Amino acid sequence: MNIAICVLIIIFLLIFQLSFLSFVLPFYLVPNIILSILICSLLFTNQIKIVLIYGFFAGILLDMFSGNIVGFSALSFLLIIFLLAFLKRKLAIKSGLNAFWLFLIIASLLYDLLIYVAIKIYPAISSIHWSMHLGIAMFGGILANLIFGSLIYVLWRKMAVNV
Amino acid sequence: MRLKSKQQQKRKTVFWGLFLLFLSFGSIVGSYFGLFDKPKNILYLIVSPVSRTFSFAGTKTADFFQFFINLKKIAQENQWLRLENLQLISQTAQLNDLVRENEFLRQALNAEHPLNQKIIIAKIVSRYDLLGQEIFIIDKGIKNGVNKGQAVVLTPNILIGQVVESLDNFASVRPLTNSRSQIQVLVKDKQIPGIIKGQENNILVMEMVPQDKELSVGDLLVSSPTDQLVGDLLVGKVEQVLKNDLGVFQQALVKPLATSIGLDSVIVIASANF
Repeated sequence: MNIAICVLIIIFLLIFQLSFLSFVLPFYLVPNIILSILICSLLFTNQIKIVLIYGFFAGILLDMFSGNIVGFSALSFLLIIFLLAFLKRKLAIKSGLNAFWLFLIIASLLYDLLIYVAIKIYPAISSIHWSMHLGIAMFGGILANLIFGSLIYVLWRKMAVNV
Repeated sequence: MRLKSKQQQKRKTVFWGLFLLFLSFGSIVGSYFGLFDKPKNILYLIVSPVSRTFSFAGTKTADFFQFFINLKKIAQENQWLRLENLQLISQTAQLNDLVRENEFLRQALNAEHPLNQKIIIAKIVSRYDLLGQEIFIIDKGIKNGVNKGQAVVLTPNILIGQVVESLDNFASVRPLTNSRSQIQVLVKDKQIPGIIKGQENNILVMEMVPQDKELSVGDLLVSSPTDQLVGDLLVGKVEQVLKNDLGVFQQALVKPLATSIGLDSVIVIASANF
């Protein structure tokens, strides 16, 4: 798929997540759509390099939109992709819905953990209520990611997107 | 041969990974020095029509569901507001007399008007929320005189947020209800100082209020003048006082007088000589 189209899709999904879903759903039930997209592309393509590049740009854009320190989400996405690519290779995980769910749970936990560590190091980086309700945020986040992620997975398979 | 090319590919991937990791660290450092101000300005310029549509749809959808959830509460609030409205009408009549008297005295003494401030009317072009931290983007920036730290108000003087980042044509505003928002306030007429912090569900928390000070439900809070923020802007009303006999300070739950939800435009107070 054309890189420009991919970037446009990422921007569109980010706006949808940050400007629409964030206001309709409680903050702990807002899915991380980009995470699902990255996992889909990691599972169905063997081009880790491309997934890393998309992860980096999606992270930069996410931070630019949300007013966070630019680079934090990019760093988180890169670390997650590295770990998942390593797991996929070491455990010889085959692409499928179960693998997608497993990766999504790991990625969600890791993303939350990275935010938690970031809050501890630099408290202004993220939400106070997020750190107060860590359990709810983690559980809600995983649940929302699984629901919306499954939808993205089905769409991905149907459209046979070749990132 | 095939093994060699696989190893080469692996090396390339590791190289790219490390390069991007390095770039991410560089971005974090760069963002402190405003390296992303120009790209952000361009990005907002491009995406603001789309994100405005989404923000509008998002807040309208949320309002629709909130209406059904709060139906019972709205009826009670309506009754309470009717009563308060009657009280306010009588207070306004008294205040009008005072304003006339003040103006007459000011003319007699040839004194300058204290509200010598530049106001900028700005449109909200988009709203973003990540992990419960809402920010909204307005269509005025450095070129229009909007700078970091300035107050964002709802007419006439109700504080709803503060500019946290100013780009060439846009500025990011952090609403009072954002959990990272923190401003100094005073209890009107009592001059009790405190700090207001954002909380969940459109509630603010007033902290750092000494235990010996008498806070009561219904007290009005106004902004305390600082280097960045102008004073005497209305912030909220005390809803509940939380006293802890063992603590040095008491807390209070405060309801903001207005929020940015559903607003199309706001006023930025660019300079003031209070």
